[in-house]
Amino acid sequence: MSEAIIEIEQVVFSYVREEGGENIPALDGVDLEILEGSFVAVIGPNGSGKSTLAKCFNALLLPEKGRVRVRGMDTGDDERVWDIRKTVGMVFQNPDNQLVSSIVEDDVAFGPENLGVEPAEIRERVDAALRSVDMYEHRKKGPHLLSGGQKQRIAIAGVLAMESECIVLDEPTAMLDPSGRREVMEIIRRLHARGKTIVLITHFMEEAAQADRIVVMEKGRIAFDGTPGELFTHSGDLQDLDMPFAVQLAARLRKRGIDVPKDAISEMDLVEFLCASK
Amino acid sequence: MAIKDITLGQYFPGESAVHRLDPRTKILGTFVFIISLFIVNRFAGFAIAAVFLGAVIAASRVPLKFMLKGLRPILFLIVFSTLLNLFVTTGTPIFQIGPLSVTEEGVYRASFMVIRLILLIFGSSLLTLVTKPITLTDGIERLLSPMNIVKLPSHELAMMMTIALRFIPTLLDETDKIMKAQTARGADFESGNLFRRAKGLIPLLVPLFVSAFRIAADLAMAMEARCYRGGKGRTRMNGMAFTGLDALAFLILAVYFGSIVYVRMLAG
Repeated sequence: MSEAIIEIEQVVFSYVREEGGENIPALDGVDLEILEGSFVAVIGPNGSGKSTLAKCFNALLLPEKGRVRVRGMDTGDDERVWDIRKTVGMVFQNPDNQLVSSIVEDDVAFGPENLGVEPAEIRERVDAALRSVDMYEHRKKGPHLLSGGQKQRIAIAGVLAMESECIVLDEPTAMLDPSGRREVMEIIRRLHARGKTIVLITHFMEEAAQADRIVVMEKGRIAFDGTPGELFTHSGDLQDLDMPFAVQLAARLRKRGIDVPKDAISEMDLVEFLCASK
Repeated sequence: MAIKDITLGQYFPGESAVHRLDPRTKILGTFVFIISLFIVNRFAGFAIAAVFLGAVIAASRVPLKFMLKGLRPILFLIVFSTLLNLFVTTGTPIFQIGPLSVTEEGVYRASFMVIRLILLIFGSSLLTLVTKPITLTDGIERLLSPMNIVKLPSHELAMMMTIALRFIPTLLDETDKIMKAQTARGADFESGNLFRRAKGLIPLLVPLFVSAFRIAADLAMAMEARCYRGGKGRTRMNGMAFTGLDALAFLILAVYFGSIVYVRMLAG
């Protein structure tokens, strides 16, 4: 059993509306453990608290009640904030609003520069990070010349260069076109295979299905926590979710009396099953 | 035409010796050159300055066409100050047009002025032609860093410039989008007198401001997430180092400045 990298206990958080000062609850008693090396997807409708939860992971937001610990460090501890943010890197939704420099490689270097890493080592880390997101040949370009998917890959490289153990991606594909979305997902899968802990906040069930654990948020609480296979067989209780094509197809086939196994959740699984059953 | 097509700055890409100089050398060199132009008090001095500048331009391989482009915006200023100097200076008259008389001293002062202005513009635009804006910013940060003792936030200033440079294309894009959206709803940015047009800009500027603030908030959060905590304890990937080339540049600069001062002493 691997160790927990992020532990969340009974976290409550609410935003205060500027006019009127009323409280808008965003998180209402969330318990969650992210294990080292796992790939967790967090899904849920708008306003379900999934982005707020992500920002609690690296002390961008501090919980009102409850505790968030990263590798045992409490996010409320002012002295450890930078260690926490180094451990848990974050990629945001808008590809334009998170790149700092007008040269790609300088942007990737921004994180390690802030950490005070030696120049020669920064150079090595930047080159390695750019290679692992397939953007090395674009290192001298300006971000405004890149596509959305490429900009998100640069943002991911920026986190890699900090050598974060865990990468939290807050709807990284929401503003991308289908090809950009595929590029980013490909990189995420590759990083997970290399042993990085991944937390992917997303709207798209197709993306969440690639994780090895799915957490469904609803009105600031966790409505479901389990593997994609478990989620899709449970889909009765969670009507709002948009199931992946393969899961929908399997459900319809079952209705017509074809006994599709419960763990067939990807198109590949279905193809294999259907070809074998002939 | 998309607003995006506007070129940023006026950097002329190249690999010449002048391009490869340390940005600090280039900034200091430009300052020395500008100061030297105000030390000059006779044409012989300008001749030295022109030869020096001409040699630097030739070494930088920036085409003259690009240099001349820099003159265009101040053409009016040059013509205006020439005319003013020509007609207003009193002295020995050469010829007269109506009530205005052109004097020998006027011609002398006008040509003096024009040469100084042109050299000034050429000299300072050469700096931005051979230095990337981002490198220039780094150079300014390093040059200002001794001022930290008197609480001048040199790192913060440079970071502001870096971010401004980074977001110019983004904000131009945003402007383009808002303009299209407002035009689609019947906004008119192109007709009417000056006053009407200025008023027409309000539906463009208000959303642009809102969006600039949103971008700033997003960026601040992204920077914090990447452990940004000001200039303290920060390292840089591309450290700056003076090379033999810079030493040579300083030597040439010293010889140049010395001869300018010498020529002035001769006159005095």
